[in-house]
Amino acid sequence: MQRIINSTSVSICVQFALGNAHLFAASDDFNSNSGTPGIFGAILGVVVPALLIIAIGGGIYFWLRRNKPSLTDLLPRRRIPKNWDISPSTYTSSSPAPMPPRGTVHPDNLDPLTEPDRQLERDEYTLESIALADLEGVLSLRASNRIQEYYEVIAIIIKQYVGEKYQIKSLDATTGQILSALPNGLTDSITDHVGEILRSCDMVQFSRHRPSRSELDRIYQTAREFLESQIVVATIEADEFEAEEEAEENSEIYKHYRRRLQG
Amino acid sequence: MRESDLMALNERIQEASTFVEEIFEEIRKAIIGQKYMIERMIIGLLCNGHILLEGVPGLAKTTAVQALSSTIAVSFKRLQFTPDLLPADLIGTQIYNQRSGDFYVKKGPIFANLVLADEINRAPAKVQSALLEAMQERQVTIGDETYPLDPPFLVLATQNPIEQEGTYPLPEAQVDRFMLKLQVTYPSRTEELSILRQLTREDPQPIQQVISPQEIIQLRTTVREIYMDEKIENYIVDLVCATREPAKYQLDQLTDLIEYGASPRATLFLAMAAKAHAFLRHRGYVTPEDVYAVGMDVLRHRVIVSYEAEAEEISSEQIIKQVFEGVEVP
Repeated sequence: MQRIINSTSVSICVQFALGNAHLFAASDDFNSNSGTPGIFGAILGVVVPALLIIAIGGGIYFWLRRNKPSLTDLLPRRRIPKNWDISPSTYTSSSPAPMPPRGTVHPDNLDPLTEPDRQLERDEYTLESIALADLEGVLSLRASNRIQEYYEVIAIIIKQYVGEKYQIKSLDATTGQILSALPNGLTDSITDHVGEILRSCDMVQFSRHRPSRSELDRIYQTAREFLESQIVVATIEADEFEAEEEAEENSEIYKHYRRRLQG
Repeated sequence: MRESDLMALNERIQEASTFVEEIFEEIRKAIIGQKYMIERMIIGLLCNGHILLEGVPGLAKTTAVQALSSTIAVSFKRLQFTPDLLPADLIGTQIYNQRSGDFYVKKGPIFANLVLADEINRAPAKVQSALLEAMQERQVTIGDETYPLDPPFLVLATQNPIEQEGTYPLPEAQVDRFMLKLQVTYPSRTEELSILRQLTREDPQPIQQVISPQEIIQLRTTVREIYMDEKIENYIVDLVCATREPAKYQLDQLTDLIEYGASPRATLFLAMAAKAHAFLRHRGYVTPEDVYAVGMDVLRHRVIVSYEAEAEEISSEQIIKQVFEGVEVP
């Protein structure tokens, strides 16, 4: 967009310059007659319109950018392209692209790290924190009344989170496929939450259902609560792992001292 | 369609589809498991399409059809296809009455609402052709007279994947007339245990009628009204086109494996079956979930594999699976 506006501005300026070239020529005659307005008039004729056009172009660009963010800008930052295989047993690709390191680049448009990305990197981000950060972004869709896209992006965030967390191919899967691919040992609440969110999104995307204000709030809240509950689960899992390791160490020490006492 | 209409349709569908659970309850008295097969049979009934069942003997195919016919209270006939069967054995014939000196028509077993054509590939081509013609036209001509077949008319034909010697495989053009081709598989261990317990200890309970044939015919109109979004329509067309021109969908590896892709009939049946599946899930709109659920059953007999695929022992199901993975879900 910026490039288009810039090139348009430059071409208009060139047109003006060419158009005003005769002024310089004419100004010599004019100069010889009256003396003063030659160069000054030419500068006014070229620079002022050019500045004016650049200012208008920039203004339109920023106005567009502020009022209508593109959907791709709001999509989760680490969306997996189709040829990235995360279930090697079922899917083969002729040219699988390597997965870039987490949080380094946006896979869809190779933008450098944005400030939220840097923040996430500093925080040693987790899947949950990434998804929650992405979820924040969808509120702008709701504010601009892009309801279908609001639901679509929430569905993508949840699918992507579930896909990465449980190593299932989720982005191009249907709701039922995702639910049936979830591991067996999961609690009912996880399956229920994922099912509820994705089914609500399906309803809006495929039935022209216009959700009420409370439904809009509910889907966001449900998605948020689900992701936040996963942070708790992850912490408990990490604590349990540490406790197990500690217990193992203790038992080794205990065995060691016991052997020494017996020896 | 307006939003208020859609909401009304959704409510109507939820109300109209309550009988589905009752049918399952009743059929469970005779059969344990096989929900997949029974669900597809109901889809066939709701879409006015015929079903080809493939599975080894003893998987309760006949019992399932019999039980289904009892829940709808329609007539049911079973016909065992053999190499010496004649078209007249199927559709009927004219018999000479010596007393009156006239011919009278003796209608065959095809004049039933639910017809189970057991081992269809055991009968010669002329019998198969007579059956498939009746399926397509929904009428039978005996002598000079044409007799319409009473709706609902559903043919369930079975094929045995083993013992292929001395059989007459159905030509592709005739297989295409079946809306769905189902692969009936063995029940799970838990189901097998329940079968053992239930069927060896007590006599099966009588099956009650749940819905009338007229209601089934009315429901066909309701199913057609189910909302299908443009995204879903495009998804269906993409799936079918991907079987014809896989390279256009970045499925170059399938180009040499497919001899013929799915026909436009597949598009129609896929859309109808997806609507019926949504109906069974009490929804007034179709989701990609519905298309995926019935996709394999609609397409597996319509994608003809090439010699290369046969040589590499790649089945049409493996190809369709890749098509579903390759085509973007809306």
